[in-house]
Amino acid sequence: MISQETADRIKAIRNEIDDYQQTVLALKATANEFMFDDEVGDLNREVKVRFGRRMKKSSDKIVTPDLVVTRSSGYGIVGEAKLALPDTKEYQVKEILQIKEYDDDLSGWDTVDGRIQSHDIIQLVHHLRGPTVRQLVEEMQQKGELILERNLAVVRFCTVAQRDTWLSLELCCGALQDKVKQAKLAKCLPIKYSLVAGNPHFASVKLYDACPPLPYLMVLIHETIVNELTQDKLLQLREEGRLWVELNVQDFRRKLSSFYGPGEEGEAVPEIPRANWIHNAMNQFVAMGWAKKHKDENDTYDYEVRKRRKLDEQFIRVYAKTMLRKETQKRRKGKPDNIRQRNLFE
Amino acid sequence: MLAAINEKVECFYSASGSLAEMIEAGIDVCKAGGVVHGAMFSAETDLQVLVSKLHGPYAKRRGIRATEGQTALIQLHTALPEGGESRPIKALVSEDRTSRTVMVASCHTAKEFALLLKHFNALLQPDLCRTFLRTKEMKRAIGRIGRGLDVSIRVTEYISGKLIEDQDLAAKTVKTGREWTDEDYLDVFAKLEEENSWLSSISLAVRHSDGRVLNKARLRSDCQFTCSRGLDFFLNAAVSSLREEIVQSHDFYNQRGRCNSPTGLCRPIGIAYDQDVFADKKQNHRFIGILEKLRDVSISVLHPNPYVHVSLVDYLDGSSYDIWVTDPSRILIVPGTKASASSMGRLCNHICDQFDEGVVAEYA
Repeated sequence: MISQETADRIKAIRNEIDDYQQTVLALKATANEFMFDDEVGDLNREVKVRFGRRMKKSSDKIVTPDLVVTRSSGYGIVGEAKLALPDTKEYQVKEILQIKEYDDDLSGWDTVDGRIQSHDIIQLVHHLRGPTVRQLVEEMQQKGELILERNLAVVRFCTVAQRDTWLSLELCCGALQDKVKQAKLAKCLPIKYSLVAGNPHFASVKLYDACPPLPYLMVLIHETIVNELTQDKLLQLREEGRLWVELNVQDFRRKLSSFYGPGEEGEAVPEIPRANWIHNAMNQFVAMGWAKKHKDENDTYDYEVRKRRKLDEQFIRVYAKTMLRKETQKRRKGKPDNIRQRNLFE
Repeated sequence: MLAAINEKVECFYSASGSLAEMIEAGIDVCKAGGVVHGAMFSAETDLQVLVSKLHGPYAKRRGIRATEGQTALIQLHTALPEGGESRPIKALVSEDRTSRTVMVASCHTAKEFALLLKHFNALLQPDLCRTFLRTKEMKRAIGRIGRGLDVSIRVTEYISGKLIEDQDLAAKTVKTGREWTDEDYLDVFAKLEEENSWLSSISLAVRHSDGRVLNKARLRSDCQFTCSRGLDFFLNAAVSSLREEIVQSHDFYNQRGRCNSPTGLCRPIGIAYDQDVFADKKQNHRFIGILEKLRDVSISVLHPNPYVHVSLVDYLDGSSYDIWVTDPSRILIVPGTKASASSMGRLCNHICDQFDEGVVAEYA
């Protein structure tokens, strides 16, 4: 039996995982829409989509939008997803102002010279945040705090479950150069989940430039380790029920990036997932007794692979208890609670 | 009579020189009143390599010994679960290099053969790929048996599965039916289609127009068979027909993961139903429960309701999938980086057998 407190925390973690996945799906749905050729009625395979890309500003500063769509050498989209917003208006304004970084002659597009004639900026927000962000953006624009050379479109997303399940994209405010897309988004554009989830071009993408809830990352790590086992190791696992594998965080980070993130290592590929996310997950495995950290090598762990079932349940339960224990310890020491992962619906 | 059968059986196992010898000996076994059990697989590698993998320490621990040859002889030295006299369980393994298929045949009892197959299969994953035929594929394979021949194909017995309609009151969700009959195979398949049932196994009698029984055999949807009469006819007509289905099935499921797909992108598949089987959201939980029952996998339920999203990893060969139900009449299976034909076939068969038989096809 688990306590009500633990049950509530488990529910909150499940919501966080759901929000994270919905945000990734929203990025994919946006990519899907901008790949879609409205005249032909099919996806245009010439359109290049990147889920996370290091781009250079005219000042040589590097920025990394969550989504970069190169539709042609003349037009592209950069998209940024916001899963949550800070509680205070001051910090909310700071968050919104980050979008100004993309209002520049960026290089790093999928064109011959890496440049593009013009681009629009899309800010993706969860539908609950939509009205707040729209109000903030309009206020900031009226005050002259957010004057951009390029179009900014605030698009909110939500899941709509009817007979089929849809990911709905809706333009909250702003404009796009592509007036057909703008009109579609203004009317609220439902995209079938299956179209997004089953699109082979980006079906594998599961991570973006925000730390996923730890139990979700742990599921991905465990699955990747099993994926990567050689035939001999798999035979050993089948026959003996367990085996140890060595995991170097830097090497494994690259693997996860190519499996679920922006892809193989390269100059333009951002560090998604980040090494410290993997360290945190591995330390949680260590706490669970599933892994051991090498004493002399900070970046290396031994992980015990077993034919374990219902991974999400195990990870979420343990993580919920760990969080609650830490909070209790802090309370005893007189420190205020620091709930690192925010529940969107709180 | 038993002595006669045993004598022929010994000849069968000593026929590891060639397939022709094995067939001849098998025919004699059937004539003497015995039966030949068999199973067919698609193979990712040739027989020599497969057999070499049966020389390792794990094969030894399981009591498996293999002797190489044009047809290999494998033996399982183990105590039988129900006790009794311990004797090695033997089987002959032959390959067809053109279709990259392997056939295992034995004259032991069905239980002994199943035990041997279990070990054989466990040691050779994912090089050895079991094929599961759906009802339409079984019908097609059986139809080809009589192709160009003046024969009738009669069904003498079959086992089928059907979804129980009123599941609120039932402890089980799938009804299994066994019928003894003497009908043309087409009538049986028409009846199954009408009843929305799927076939698990079927016993056939192939009769010539002059009344002679050319073959008596039982076929299972996992490409296992038992032949009690006319092994030569069975091997010529039925095995070649099964082989065609196995090759088609393997080609369909093969190279769908990102790492071995010809396009470098994963190739999703769908299981489609002609009814909204997920209209009642209770079916989501039933579906998840069924996935949880699949052996040697781990599933993570990332979303159960109103849509289903499950991440599944197969411990047998490291394949992984995202499984989605976002449409009430279709299941979407998105292969991960690695997805073997064997694993995909196993997963789809499990869903079709335990949840409901749908049409497995390219996702578009």
